[in-house]
Amino acid sequence: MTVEYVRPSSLAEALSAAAKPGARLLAGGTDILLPPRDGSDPVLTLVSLRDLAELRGIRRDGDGSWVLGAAVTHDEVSRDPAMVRVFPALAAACRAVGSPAVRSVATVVGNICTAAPSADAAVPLLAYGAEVIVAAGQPVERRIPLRGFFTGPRRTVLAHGDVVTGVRLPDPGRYGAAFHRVSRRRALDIAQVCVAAVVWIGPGGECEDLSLALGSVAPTPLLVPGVAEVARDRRCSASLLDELAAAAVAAARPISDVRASAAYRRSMVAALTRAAVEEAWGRAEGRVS
Amino acid sequence: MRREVGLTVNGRVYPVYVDPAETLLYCLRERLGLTGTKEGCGDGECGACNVLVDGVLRNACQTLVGEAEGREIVTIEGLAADGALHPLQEAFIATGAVQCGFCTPGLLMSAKALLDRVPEPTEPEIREAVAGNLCRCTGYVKVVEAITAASRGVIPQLPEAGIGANVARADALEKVTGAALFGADVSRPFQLWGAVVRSPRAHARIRGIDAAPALALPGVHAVVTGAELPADLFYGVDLHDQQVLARDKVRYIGEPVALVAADTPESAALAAAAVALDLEDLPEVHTLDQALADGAPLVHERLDDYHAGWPAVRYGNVCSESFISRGDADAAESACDRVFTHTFETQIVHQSYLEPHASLAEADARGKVTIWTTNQKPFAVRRYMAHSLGWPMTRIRVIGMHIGGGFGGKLEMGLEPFCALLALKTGHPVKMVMSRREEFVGANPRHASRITVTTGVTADMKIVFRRGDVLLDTGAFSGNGPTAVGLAMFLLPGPYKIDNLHLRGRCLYSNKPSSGSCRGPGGPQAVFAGESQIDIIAREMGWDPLQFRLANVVGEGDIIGAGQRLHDVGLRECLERVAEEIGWDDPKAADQGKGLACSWWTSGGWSTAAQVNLNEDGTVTLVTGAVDIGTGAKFTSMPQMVAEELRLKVGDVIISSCDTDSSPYDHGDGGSRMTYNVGHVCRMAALDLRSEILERAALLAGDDPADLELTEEGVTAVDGGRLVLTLAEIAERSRVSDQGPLAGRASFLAQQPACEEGVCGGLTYPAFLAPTFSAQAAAVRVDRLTGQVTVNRVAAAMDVGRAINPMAVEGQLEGGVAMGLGYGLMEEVKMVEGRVVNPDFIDYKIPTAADMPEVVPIIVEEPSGSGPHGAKGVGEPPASLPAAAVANAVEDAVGVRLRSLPMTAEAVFAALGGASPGE
Repeated sequence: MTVEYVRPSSLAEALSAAAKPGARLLAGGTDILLPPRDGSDPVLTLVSLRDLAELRGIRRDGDGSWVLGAAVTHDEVSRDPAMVRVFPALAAACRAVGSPAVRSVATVVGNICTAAPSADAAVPLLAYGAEVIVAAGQPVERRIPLRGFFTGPRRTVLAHGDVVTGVRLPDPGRYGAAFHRVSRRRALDIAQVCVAAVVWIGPGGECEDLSLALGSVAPTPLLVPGVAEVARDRRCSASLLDELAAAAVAAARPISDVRASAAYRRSMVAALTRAAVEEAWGRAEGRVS
Repeated sequence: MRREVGLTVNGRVYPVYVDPAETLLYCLRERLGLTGTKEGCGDGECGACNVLVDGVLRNACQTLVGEAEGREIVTIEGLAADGALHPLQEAFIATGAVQCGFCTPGLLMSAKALLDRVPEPTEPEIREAVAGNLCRCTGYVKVVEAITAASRGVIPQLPEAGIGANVARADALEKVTGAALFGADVSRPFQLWGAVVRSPRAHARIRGIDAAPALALPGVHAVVTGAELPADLFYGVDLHDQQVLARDKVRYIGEPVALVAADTPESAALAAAAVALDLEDLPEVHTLDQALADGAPLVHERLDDYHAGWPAVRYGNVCSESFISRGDADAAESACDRVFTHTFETQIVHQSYLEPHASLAEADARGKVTIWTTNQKPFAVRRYMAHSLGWPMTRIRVIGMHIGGGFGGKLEMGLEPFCALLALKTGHPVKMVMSRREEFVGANPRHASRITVTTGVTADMKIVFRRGDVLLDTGAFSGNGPTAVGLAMFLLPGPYKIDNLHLRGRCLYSNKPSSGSCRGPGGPQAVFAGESQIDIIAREMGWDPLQFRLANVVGEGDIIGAGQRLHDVGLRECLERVAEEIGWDDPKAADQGKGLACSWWTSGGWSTAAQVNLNEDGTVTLVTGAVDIGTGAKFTSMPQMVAEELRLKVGDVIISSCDTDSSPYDHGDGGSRMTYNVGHVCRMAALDLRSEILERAALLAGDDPADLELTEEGVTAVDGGRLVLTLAEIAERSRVSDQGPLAGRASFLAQQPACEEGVCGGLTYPAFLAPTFSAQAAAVRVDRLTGQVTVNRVAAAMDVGRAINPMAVEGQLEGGVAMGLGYGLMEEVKMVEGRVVNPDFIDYKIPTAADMPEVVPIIVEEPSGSGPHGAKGVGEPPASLPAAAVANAVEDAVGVRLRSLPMTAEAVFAALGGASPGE
């Protein structure tokens, strides 16, 4: 029953520790240190990432994309001026998670790798077209699009021993985004439903591209399919919002649980989708700050 | 794997030999003895364990020692520097932001993290920064005030004495520094850890319990089962229907069936899981209707054999039936213009004090057991243990620790006999602390209810009659249910003049955890039903809800309840002032609404005694068996009243802690009884000491006592003010040479007011002592898209008789509003077939600082003829009104009426025509 705690001092050491049977990576610890769920694999070794300097910080690559290191916390993202300016929906999602004492240690990459259906940060990351950067012992890192990353509740495409070193966000250019969420309480609560909308519009105010992602309404955070095709070349209108809301509701597969009924979740998917798209559109047009 | 780890805590390096995978919280508390950092949930969901690690705010329960190694850790013990309090600590004391004090260290650490980053935060920034720190006592009002004051350097100076003065709580300093010792903070050498084996089935016969697998585990010392305990001894609050451990059958999921003691908390938990139970399922009772059905399975087969402390009516699964019948409701019905009948349902909620139950027991060579515990009624623990274990009281000593919130949840016996039994069996001290999950399945939450109320009115706004049928689900054991159902019957008709009343109350057993007392037991349920219907009637009849209430409220000399005549009624002023504060007649915006509720309640009674000793230096020691659950009565109004009579400062009064071996008897802290009762007896004891002082001074100085008086200087001559003797001189001369030390004593049992004969039956509590009156008004906004109710403002007025310490009274009003809003809007212990499905703070939600509206406390003072300085009991009522006021405001806002709680966004959305809740 005793769990071994190891603290590698390099990525190479971390990779070899992570490859051992029963090993799990420890970043913020806010999820992995909760009492084990029924049926979860026993953790024999916790591999601490605290000493790996290369996982820290937010950087911008030559191609204009942004990389959040695996040690970047929700708090850092929600306060980072560049993140707040360039990725406001992500900053808002990060600020909605847990409490200050959770956000100060819980990492965005941890949120993705835990792969809870309710992962808040995952939702705008999906909408922004993020990629997960994986080191797996090879000299060249792998990049996995986030939209293909989740395979089920708390399940991902990662293999045992993989170490996610960061998440990459493409340069969004000029666009608008919004994150909307309902929960039972205004703080320190898991979302009943959350929605992120990202909209790119052309000079004439017509949509060039649009993406919509949902949380807490399916076995995984999900990207709503087909919405860009629906919205392309159209202006924001009540009928477009209704069509997008219908697409979101069609994509959602909510369950009834202790936090909300499936019916309420579906209703909220529609309501939040309308609100989020409208707000994102306003931002894209510079009407909403 | 243990190894040497260097932990830097508050600037000092502690080399500890530990497993780096151990939590920092456990290491700080159990290895370094830094118990100021508290464990409230273990899930990172309450903030009680907040510490700073390299300046970063963290939950210590989710921080491994290895992660903190080599970093600068700051705990609450390190907040004060060089002997000077941090301004936040000073501000928490000076604004009354400290109540029970259990969440205070975490709040202070969060606030420090905020001020380190933002020196002058705005109110929203403060609320966001402390939103991870659950507090059940304060409603966060004075917490926000304190952080604001500290950040602006405007910390108020408080007076040192006086009735009606905001004297600082005497225990505030130890609470802001982390020094105050709560239940889990005591340890003894060679102590073991106990754990409870709980029933996995809701109703089952116990065929056998096999302890061998548990005893075979490493570090396990003993297992105790019910078979080892007396078969025929029972205990209980009103009805003696409970045994320490289940014997023949289990009655709910979570019922204690066996106990284990082991070297560590982990090995105790593993051992508890290894005890093998052989259970044979029985038919189960989960709903009120199942309990009442013909041929229902019986939760208690021997109901008639149980001892009852009052004339109980009981049958089937009804553990108590009672009635109040005044006038003739049936005859009055024909005189009414309209008659309304509605049914309301309420849910189980948990008290959610931040401190889980905790006890430690140690046996001496003669088999006498000393128990350190966090119980609201230490003397009752001793009595219940004597009843249920057959031990003489000479073998039981109970010491009351600081209590990290109780709200009634710690009124019943909990872990105390478990620790005692394990300590006796193992020969080691045994400590037990309930996990937050155990709290939700193994404590005593608020009763679920179904209340049907029928009211007849005439067109001139008069309430002619009210009929009511109150059903409470008390779970597997009666607990405080028989009293709670009676209290609900008192509150259901409201504080109105109604000549024709017919009320029936039944308390039903089911296979659920046993409900108990929760801040105003029966109150919020009845106020929600009764006051919701008042608004429904007003709306239907086209009356203004305020005017309808004012046309019917009770006043001086009116008859209420079971025929009790009222005096000192400050209700009208309460209603008028909250209405004014909320802008009752002002126009409102779309989807916004206002709602009112009013009620009455009792100042609690029950026996108490106190002693005030004069110390050699002229200070005094107040010796009382009272404990304090956080309201602060023991640390504000009681010493204030003692100091007042002896012309001292509050700082001159030593306040004893409760020890059943040496303290005079006190009933316990609950039932809004502290200031009214214990305050009264303390004041009487102080007055007794004052007469003794004057007599002794006269004797020593050769004066006539009638010529002497007590002043701030000492005993002086009435005529001219000449100082005769100081208190120190009197004490010292008495001790050395004249008649020995001085002490004042008093005993008190408040007498129940008289009631009409034959008006009621089966009630455990037939009249309200020194009744109090309350009114609240809420202003809300409803988001039609989501159903979310946002409460913008609550005005809470209460006639408290006399506020001995207004700041403490405000704290009760503000905290009560928070608790009532949680009840009304978000809280529910959800059960499926007797199993709690949200047994943690992850899914049981109580309001955070971010959820709380502005709360305006309004103190109304209509002095009571019987309370000390006119004081009445304050603690419970403020929590009973918010749900009704909000339900009324919601209908005012969007025209939908919620008849069950909680009014979640989902429920309101459904009422507005959206999806049905629960689908």
